[in-house]
Amino acid sequence: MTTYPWLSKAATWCSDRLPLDALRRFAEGKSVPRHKHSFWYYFGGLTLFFFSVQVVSGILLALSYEPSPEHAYESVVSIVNEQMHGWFIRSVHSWSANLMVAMLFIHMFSGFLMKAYRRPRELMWISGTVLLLLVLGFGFTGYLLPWDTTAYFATLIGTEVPKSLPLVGTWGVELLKGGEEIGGRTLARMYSMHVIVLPLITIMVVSFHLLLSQLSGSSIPVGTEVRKPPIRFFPNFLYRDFISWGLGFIALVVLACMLPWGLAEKADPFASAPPGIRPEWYFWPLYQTLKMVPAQIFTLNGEMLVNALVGLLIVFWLAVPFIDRRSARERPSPVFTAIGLGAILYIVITIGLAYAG
Amino acid sequence: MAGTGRRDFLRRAIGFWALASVSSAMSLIVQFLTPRKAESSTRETLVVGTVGEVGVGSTKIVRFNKEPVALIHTPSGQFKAFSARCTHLGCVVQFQPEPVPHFGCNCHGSQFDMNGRNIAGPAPRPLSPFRVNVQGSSIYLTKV
Repeated sequence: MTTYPWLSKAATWCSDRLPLDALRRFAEGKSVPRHKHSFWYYFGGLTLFFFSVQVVSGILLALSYEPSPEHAYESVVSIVNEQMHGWFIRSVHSWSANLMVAMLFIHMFSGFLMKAYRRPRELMWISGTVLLLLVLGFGFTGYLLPWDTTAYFATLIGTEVPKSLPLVGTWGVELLKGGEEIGGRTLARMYSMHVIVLPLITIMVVSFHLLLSQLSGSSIPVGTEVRKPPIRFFPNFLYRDFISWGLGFIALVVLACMLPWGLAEKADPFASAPPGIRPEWYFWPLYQTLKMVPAQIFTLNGEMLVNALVGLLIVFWLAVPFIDRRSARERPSPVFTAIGLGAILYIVITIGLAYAG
Repeated sequence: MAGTGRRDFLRRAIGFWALASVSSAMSLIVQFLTPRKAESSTRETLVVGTVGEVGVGSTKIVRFNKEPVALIHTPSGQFKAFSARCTHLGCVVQFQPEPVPHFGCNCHGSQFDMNGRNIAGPAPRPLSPFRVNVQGSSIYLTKV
């Protein structure tokens, strides 16, 4: 029956030693509901796909990158200009980072609007929010690595913002920077965070998040009519996931080839910040808010106020499953729908304003 | 009951030992990562250039220890100097001659007049001034 007897032997050898049958039975027993909002289920898988691309392309880049202020920029120039396919791998890494954040935002807000955080998926929501913070951490720590002007000043701003926090602000920032100035220690710390600390934590949290999603399954939005029978996760839903990954991959390759990621001038701490300097788009809401908030509001420092607001928002976002009591009782909660739509609107407007300059 | 007491004691002792070990390790890690204050190798007064390097009516960013400083040669022939770090979030400001000469920060749009005063944008304070002394052709800066 088998064309390759060695393959059959290998499968038997593995199943004698690993609970593969139990896993297959579990996967076959799992189903995914079908309704008018099922489309949004694919964005979690797409986020995971782009994360995998990040891991592979990141490892390749790390093999040629030199994390020191003297050599970082030159090593990136060498990767891009001299190494075979280097420009493509760097471009793929940068674009897939952006696509991953975009997919994560869609996944998170679709989950929020479908109230997927309600019992028994509170821990999925919390781990997902932690993953969002980790991904933003990846973006922030990775941004300095090319050691160009944009990276330098974006990191300077990013590390100055939390300084206004009382008690721990200055200490925390110096801990992150490895000193008072952005220099070799900062680059070493950002690099270590980017390639060791954050990946280790992320892999643990992603595993937990995926385990929970396998155990709890996909949430059906409150009040959604389910007319069609569910589809099996394995292999039917997974095939569809693969199709979405294929489309994501095509989009990534097209973007990486058509709009290869650029590199500004080498960082010079004594040069003026170049015009039009901005962080990555996913930090634009914070960037634009900092730009709009006056230096003093009554007696309060503007930056401190923004810091406090960001902290409160994170706590609120983590606590959403426990605050939204109506969803917990399987009843519509228009207030939380309005909060979600308001957050999306604020993000879109501030991104638009930051883009317009 | 004596056995339960001993077990309870051992459980608490192990818990305390684990907590003490983790706290010590965390403290060690934080102390290792906290940067030591660099011994002051900074100078209070420095020569930053010569008069000929900054034409009348122009400005130049010079280096004062680790700080970028905007040196201004006014049309009336005077020298003025201010820290070039924007007081908002620390970006280095840029001289902009139009529509009126001023320093602008490209990061969040703060503006400072030629006396270092914050006139627009989110910057909360004026640029820190430096004292300028010209001796011969050398320009000396002193932190105020």
